[in-house]
Amino acid sequence: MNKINKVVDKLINLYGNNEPFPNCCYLYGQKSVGKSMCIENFLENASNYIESVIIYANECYSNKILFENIINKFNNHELNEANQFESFAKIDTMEDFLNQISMLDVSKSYIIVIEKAEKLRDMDINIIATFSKLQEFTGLNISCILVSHIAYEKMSGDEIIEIHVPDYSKNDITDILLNRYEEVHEEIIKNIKKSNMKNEEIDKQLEAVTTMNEEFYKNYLSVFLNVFYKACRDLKELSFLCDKCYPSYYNPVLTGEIKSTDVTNLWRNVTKTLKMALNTIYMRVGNLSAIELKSTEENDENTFEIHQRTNTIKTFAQMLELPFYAKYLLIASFLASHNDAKSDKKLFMKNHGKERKRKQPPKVSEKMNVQFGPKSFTIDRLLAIFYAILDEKVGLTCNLLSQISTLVDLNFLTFVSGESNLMEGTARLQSTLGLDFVINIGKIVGFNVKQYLTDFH
Amino acid sequence: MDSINSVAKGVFFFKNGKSLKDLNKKKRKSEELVNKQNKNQHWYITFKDEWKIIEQKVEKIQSESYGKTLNNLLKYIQDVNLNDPNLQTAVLLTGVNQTDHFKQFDSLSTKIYNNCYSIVTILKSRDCPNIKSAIETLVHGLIYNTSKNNEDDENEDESINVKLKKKQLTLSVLEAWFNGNYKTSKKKPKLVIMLADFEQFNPVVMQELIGILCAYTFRLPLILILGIATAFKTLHNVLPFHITSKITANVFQAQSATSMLNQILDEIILTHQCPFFLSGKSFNVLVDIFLFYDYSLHSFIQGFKIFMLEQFMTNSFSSIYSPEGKMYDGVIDSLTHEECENIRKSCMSFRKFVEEQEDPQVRIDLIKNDDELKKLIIKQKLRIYRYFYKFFICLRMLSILIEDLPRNNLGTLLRELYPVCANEEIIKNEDFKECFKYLRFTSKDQFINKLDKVIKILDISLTDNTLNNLAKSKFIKTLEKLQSHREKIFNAGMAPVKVDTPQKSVEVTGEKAMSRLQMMEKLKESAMNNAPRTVIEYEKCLIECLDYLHNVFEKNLVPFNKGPALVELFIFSDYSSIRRQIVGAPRGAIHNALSNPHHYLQCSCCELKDNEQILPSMPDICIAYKLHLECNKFINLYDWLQAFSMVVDNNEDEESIKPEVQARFTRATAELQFLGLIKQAKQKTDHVMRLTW
Repeated sequence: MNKINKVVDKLINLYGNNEPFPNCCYLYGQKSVGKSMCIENFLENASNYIESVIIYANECYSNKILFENIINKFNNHELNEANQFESFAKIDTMEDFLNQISMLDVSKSYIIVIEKAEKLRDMDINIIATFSKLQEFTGLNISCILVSHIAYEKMSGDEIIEIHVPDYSKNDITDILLNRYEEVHEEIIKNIKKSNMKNEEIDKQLEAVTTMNEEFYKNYLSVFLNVFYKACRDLKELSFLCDKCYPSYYNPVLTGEIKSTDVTNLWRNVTKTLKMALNTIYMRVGNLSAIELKSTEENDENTFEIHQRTNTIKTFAQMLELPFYAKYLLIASFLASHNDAKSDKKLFMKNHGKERKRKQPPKVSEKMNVQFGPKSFTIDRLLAIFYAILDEKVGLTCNLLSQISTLVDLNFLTFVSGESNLMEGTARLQSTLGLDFVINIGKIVGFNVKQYLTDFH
Repeated sequence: MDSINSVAKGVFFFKNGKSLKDLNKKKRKSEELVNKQNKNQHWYITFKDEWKIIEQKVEKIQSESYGKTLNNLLKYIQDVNLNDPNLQTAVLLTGVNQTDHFKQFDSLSTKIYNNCYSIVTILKSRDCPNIKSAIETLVHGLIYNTSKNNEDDENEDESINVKLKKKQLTLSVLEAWFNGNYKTSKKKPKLVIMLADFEQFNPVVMQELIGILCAYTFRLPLILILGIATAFKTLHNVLPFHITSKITANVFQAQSATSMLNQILDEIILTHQCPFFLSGKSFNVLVDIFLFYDYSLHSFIQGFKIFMLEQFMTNSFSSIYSPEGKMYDGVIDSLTHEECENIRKSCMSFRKFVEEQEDPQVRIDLIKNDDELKKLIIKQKLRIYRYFYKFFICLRMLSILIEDLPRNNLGTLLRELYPVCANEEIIKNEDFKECFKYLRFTSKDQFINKLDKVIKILDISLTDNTLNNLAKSKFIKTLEKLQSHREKIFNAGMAPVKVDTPQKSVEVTGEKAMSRLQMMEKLKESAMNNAPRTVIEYEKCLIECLDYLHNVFEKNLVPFNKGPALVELFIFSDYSSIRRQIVGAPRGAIHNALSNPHHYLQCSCCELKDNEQILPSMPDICIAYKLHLECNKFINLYDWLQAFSMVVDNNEDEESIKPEVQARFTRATAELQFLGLIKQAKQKTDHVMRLTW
């Protein structure tokens, strides 16, 4: 916490009362290390002498929004029905903006905070330059604080005051999470009271909760962070996961199976949940009962680590609900993307004539076609391969052709060129799938994909 | 051709032979165009009534099956924790039958609107090519509450009176509007944003949009609903971590399309109450389209509707087949002589029936006298109804018996069993025999479990009130028999029981010229036969029961072609004509039209004796098309023109080609190019390239 206080102190030193402000200041630090919190604390402290506005740069897809939001705030202009939700002034260009700013009360001090400042780079070229020198343009005591997670060198070459917000250490994170102890426990008690159990049962559980003191929570945190700190340092993600896994830590205490002091057993009990959560880290699944998790749960624990990658692809392939021909189209598109057109004849025709034996030139590269990116192909070739790998005879119907566009909609195929002139036959497509996925699809429909790839011959 | 009476100006499609009927079908789709005389016709009225019943049933099933997911979703929206700094997101996995999606989302939005206090808007990918238009559509949707049900708003002041300019539609305006309207009210509505086709959104737009919405979660009660067709994984493919870390995703899985289809089939189409029946093959046509092509329930149901329409129109008797058939009895009396003749000719079962009659007078009466036939129809009607009743009950029983057998090639779902049973005698089917063999090895608990289920089905079906007691009495007997079998099996112990087998002494020493192997076989056999066969008591009871069931199936699962007389009247088997109408084949149709224009034009001049023929009377484009079929990939325009002129003008002279012929030729090639059949070749001058084969 004192880290944040340090940063706030720095800011207050920079922007003292009755002092001329620096032109611009750059606050930078990794994601979720408390940059916004520093700003909020600082602005709260300085609210008596500073007019401020916080703008999220990603929200400003046009300059107009950026300008008008700033001006509205500084003029205390609120949008409502009475003014027909019109802004204080119509501002389309930087010139208009500077004019409006210059009209503000000179006796006051102003700060513009721009969060996600890295987005400014994608906007008009003059914006960063102007915002970092607003004082010169307006003559007001105005300053701009840019907040971002990238280093300033990547934004602009000009000199600027930089303030760095350092990362959290493990102890910091423990402290921060520990701060939430009260909150978390109130929530637990509330949940127990709400549940429709018998009264004695509730009383028993409430009693158990009292044994879960801060030490208990601290133990949990150390177990939790031992597992997760290596994988993730993002405070938000950690606290999200921390809340999610906590119930399986304390539940045996509530039911009376394990005593709250028996750390070893508690640890043993919670490992499975933690392991599972580690696999779904960053997935952000709110309801744990979600299908994906269920399917991973079923897997054998030991082999799980090894097969994890293929397994998820496999489950993805199995869960995918596609009509029969669409699956074959997927396979055909993959084959078309990863085979040379020259080898089609050899692969797909039964009587492709004798192969003339030629002296094979020594292989130049060991790379396989499947490892190169997908190549593009025409719809005609796709259909030709489709008919070649399908045993049945099917007509070329509307339904079949519309499947192709469905697959494009689902992002399994993408247009490389000629999206507008499908009729002419020059449109080229590309498969976006991976080998593992296609092999799994092939398994479902009983088709050996590898047999038709030149790489595996 | 003179039989069209339509108000629409446009191109009409005539199919060879029975143009009027097809036309009727086309018109049926739009109510206004229905011929007046048809509208009052008996079959049409019946069709409408029956269709309404089916439609209601389908809707009921659909709403029920969405219901579970929907309730979970609604519950989630209701008690979602909006103090969470993350953007609350519900991910709805919908399955890939995309044609049905927007409908689903529409009904979902209505449900949410009605049940939770919230404002709902649906965002479509086509409205969001960039972030600006995405936000504008979003804000517009929320402020003006575009999700239709505006009329039942109690507080009129909620809806905005100010007309906002498109430029003004930003999130800050939304916030201002929301605060202006709801700041004072105790209960604030939730703002629900639905993205039905997540995959089709531009990923960049998607990321920006979520990023912006996240910034507003503190100020506005936003909830996002994403409809994902493929799998939850897609979300992570599209969104990078710094975006996903701002949302809390809750996954809801909608019921899969196939299970929904099974449900609809089991409860509506494959029951004896369905107004008509599909022959095995036509049933397969419909199901195959669903399984192989599109997974779209909507088009399945529409396909079924067309089948039904065709059946009712070509065959007005189907209208007499209905549980409450009394009111339609008049139809039979109004049959004309021609129609009677038609029945006699078309029904194979009628012929068989007549041949079975022993009294020659009865035979003659049936063939000659229309009144006799009508009497027969009325008589048969009930029998047929009973026949289907038994058929479907047994089908269900069979499905339960074999549902968990290993190596089952028959399939276990009703939709797999139905076509087999409808086409052939099931007991003669090899797979069926195999299944019964396996059934003998089932354990006691398992078998009793199955038997219980079978008994339950019988019980339920007996509650059907549309049948008289005669039909039921047989099944009551079956039920009693099965119950007694169950009792027996249940009590049967594992004690061995001796079974007497006729002692057969095999002559081993009979023939001398026997190989060692043969001899061994013989000896084995004799040993087997002579040993007193012991069977466990349970096994004996089981076999008895299975024999009985076998008997029941043999009696009741009679294929349609061996069903009671006149059963054809209620079975739809003309799938080939309809198939062409529900499965469009554009290339085929174009080829057909261009190579044989007579097929569509029905003119006397263009009748072809064989397909290769080219007649000068055909339209120019057809001549050009037929000539180009003879060419390779590249076609020399000049040669083509010459051939064209030869056909059109009978002009053998190579040098002089009339300018008008050339003009006609140019037009024909331009038309072919427009149809996408040829295009200009870049490699060779004066050549065009063929694009089709």
